[in-house]
Amino acid sequence: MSPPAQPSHAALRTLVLGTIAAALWWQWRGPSDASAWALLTGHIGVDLWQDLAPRALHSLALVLGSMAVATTSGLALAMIVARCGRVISGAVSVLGQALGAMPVIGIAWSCIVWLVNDQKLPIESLIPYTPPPERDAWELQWGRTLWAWLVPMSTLALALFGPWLSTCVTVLNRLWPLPIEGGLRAKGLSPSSIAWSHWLPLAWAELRGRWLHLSLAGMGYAVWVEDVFGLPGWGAFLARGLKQGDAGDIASALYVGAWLAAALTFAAGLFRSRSHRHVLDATAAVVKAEPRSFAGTMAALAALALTLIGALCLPTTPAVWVTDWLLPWLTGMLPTGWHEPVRTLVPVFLLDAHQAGAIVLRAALIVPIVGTMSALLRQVRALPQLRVLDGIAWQPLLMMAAVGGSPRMMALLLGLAGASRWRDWALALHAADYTRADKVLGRTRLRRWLAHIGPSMLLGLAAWSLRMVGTVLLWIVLIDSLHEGPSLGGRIAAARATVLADFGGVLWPTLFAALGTLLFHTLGRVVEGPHDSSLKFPRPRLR
Amino acid sequence: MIPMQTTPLLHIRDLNIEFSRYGAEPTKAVQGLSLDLMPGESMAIVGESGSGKSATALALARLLPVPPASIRAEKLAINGKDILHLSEKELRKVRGKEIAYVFQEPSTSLNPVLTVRTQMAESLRLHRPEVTDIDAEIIAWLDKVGITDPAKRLHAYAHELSGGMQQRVMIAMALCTHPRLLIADEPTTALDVTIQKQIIDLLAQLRRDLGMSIILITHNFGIIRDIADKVVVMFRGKVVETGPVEEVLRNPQHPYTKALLACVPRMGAKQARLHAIDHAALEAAL
Repeated sequence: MSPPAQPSHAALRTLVLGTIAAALWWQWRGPSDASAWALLTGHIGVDLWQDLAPRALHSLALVLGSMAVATTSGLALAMIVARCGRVISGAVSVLGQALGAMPVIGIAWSCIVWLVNDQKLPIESLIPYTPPPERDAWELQWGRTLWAWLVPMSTLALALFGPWLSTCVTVLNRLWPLPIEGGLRAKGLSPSSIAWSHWLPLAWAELRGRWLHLSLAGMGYAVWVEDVFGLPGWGAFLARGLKQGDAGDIASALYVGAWLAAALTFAAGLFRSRSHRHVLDATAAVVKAEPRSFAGTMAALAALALTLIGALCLPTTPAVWVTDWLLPWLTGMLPTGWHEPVRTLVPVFLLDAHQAGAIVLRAALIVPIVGTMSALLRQVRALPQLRVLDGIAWQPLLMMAAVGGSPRMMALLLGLAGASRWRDWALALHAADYTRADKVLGRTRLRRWLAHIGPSMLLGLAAWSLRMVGTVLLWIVLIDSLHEGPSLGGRIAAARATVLADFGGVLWPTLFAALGTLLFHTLGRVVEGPHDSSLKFPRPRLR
Repeated sequence: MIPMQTTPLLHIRDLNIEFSRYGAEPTKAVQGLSLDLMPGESMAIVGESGSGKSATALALARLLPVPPASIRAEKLAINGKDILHLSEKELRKVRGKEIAYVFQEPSTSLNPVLTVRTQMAESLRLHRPEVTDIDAEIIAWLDKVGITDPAKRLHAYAHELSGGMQQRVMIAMALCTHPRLLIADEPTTALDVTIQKQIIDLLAQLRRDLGMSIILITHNFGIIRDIADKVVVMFRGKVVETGPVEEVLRNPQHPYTKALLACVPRMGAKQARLHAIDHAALEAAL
């Protein structure tokens, strides 16, 4: 799925929205005399400049370094794979998606087990050896620094490599063969020149948005990587705050996180050109929609009604009877011959999936209402304040919502982010040729909506919802992994103390989470259908 | 005045092009085509869609994908170079330098994420490395093809130019390498009528100024009089008539040529309905 079109002044929006989120969090969750101004000026027990600035720089370097490794290796592999035929590139794309669906904490522990336990060494051997000062030399210092950076950076790069590889393969395949290839060959360009000078710049116009989205996700993943490896970064600081429930630490980390996200957005903006923006906007504006039949319309309306009823009825957290009765019952229902971890983890997975589904259903209720209002108001007048939806859609919102700790907050932010996509779909469908043709023929607004807009929108919403269930499930597992509890993440947290002796305690919940995420993402792609051929070569729009 | 030469710039004998598909009979796109083009001469290849004119044009620089295409000829030489026996590396020196192309749809030849300067500079660096002031050269060529305010257009992207301007940029890009032969494959089809006239006039003027040869591929007899010295009429992959433009226009011999000429609408002439070509009758005449 292509990321939403990047709004103008994205770095500034990111900073402002992140700061507002941190201030609100501090005001609500902090002590009774909490003041947002005190947070912004660093007077809440955390010296932002002395305590958090070096940590933030550390995390920024970690994320950018990991992104550099993941981006170059992923793009190089994708360029090779894209020339090996559709079957091979499709298989590699699925492998990349599978790797991207793995919770980063599972990847981190796997790396540790692979590096340390394979040699039957204690986990402390990961900490670089520091000789006495009289025997220390600059070569040793460099070696220590390299070792201290290399392992966590490789781990984070591995987590980012999968989705990046998958995206690169998809985009490069879509753009190959280039429609301008004939003209370029006629100029006398060699195949390598065509690839480097034309294919890649064209692909980068689409990939750049994904790069930024992934780097913001990487910033979120850094929380777990730094926590597992015990690095002195911003992420470890936030993880500690979340574990201890320290409101001051969390609010400060959120505020500094807003600056970090803004810095990453700014860094990605450096690669941006005017033309790239046009191409990206044109790509985002193309809606994969076909006119639907009356039966399809009715089916879509029924699906929407069920979705809304479900969203209203389902609780976002499992009821007591579920944990006390359903969980043991489900465990007992599974055949005893099954592998024990699988037998016990299936009900846990179902509970996590239920929670993710309930959050997304609530968000799906918000999406059409806010999205339609925004589209209607936008048609009346381009109200600048409505652009705030674009800003929210561009945030690493799941991490922020997760830090909020409330499923309702997560559903709200997710719904607002989805509303911006809904508004873009609605406006594009209204402007579609077949909708305008019906308007000319004198069809009423309702008939036009039922024939062309509604079914496509609802199908798009269904695809978006399924994908989001996967994404939310992944983040729920990550957030839960900070505390022990009756969930996949909680199982990972419980198993980390004995990970070297029993790797299965981390491995099985990680695999369950990955399979669940992959399943929902794939379902979303199936509902969405194949890419529209008009996306093959994005035609820039004049503004 | 262009000095007269006796050696043809383009020498084709018995050119055959086929497209094969798995499990199907090969499609004969061009059969037994022979023609000569002298330096500085201009030729139009006219025919309806599917007559093999574009396949011929692409075969001249071996731009057709092989397979599915297969190109055979007794002789296919440009400026004495046997095209069919050149290596891919040698061919790349011919493409753009000896033969330049202007295609029908400029937006499928211009990269939307690169500026006009980047794309023109690429051609110049490749084929005219002696040019030191690339910007000045590009501006001069943009000016020559009639682009207003060329210095400003240097950093424009394709989508910031109109269709006519894009085609002018394509012509400038093709000509800035000083090719000996320009192949314009339906360069005006995607443009409106007023711009069509401007582009044809521009090509005619540039041909006079630069002394290059031109092959104009078109299905429209109406535009060739101003630019071509001779015309080749193709039907179903075969040359059905060839001769000086004026002669063919005034006194067409083949029924297909007559039918094509009858299809050209004329200002002021009252017609109940437009002419359509009777393919069955033509097949019988062949």
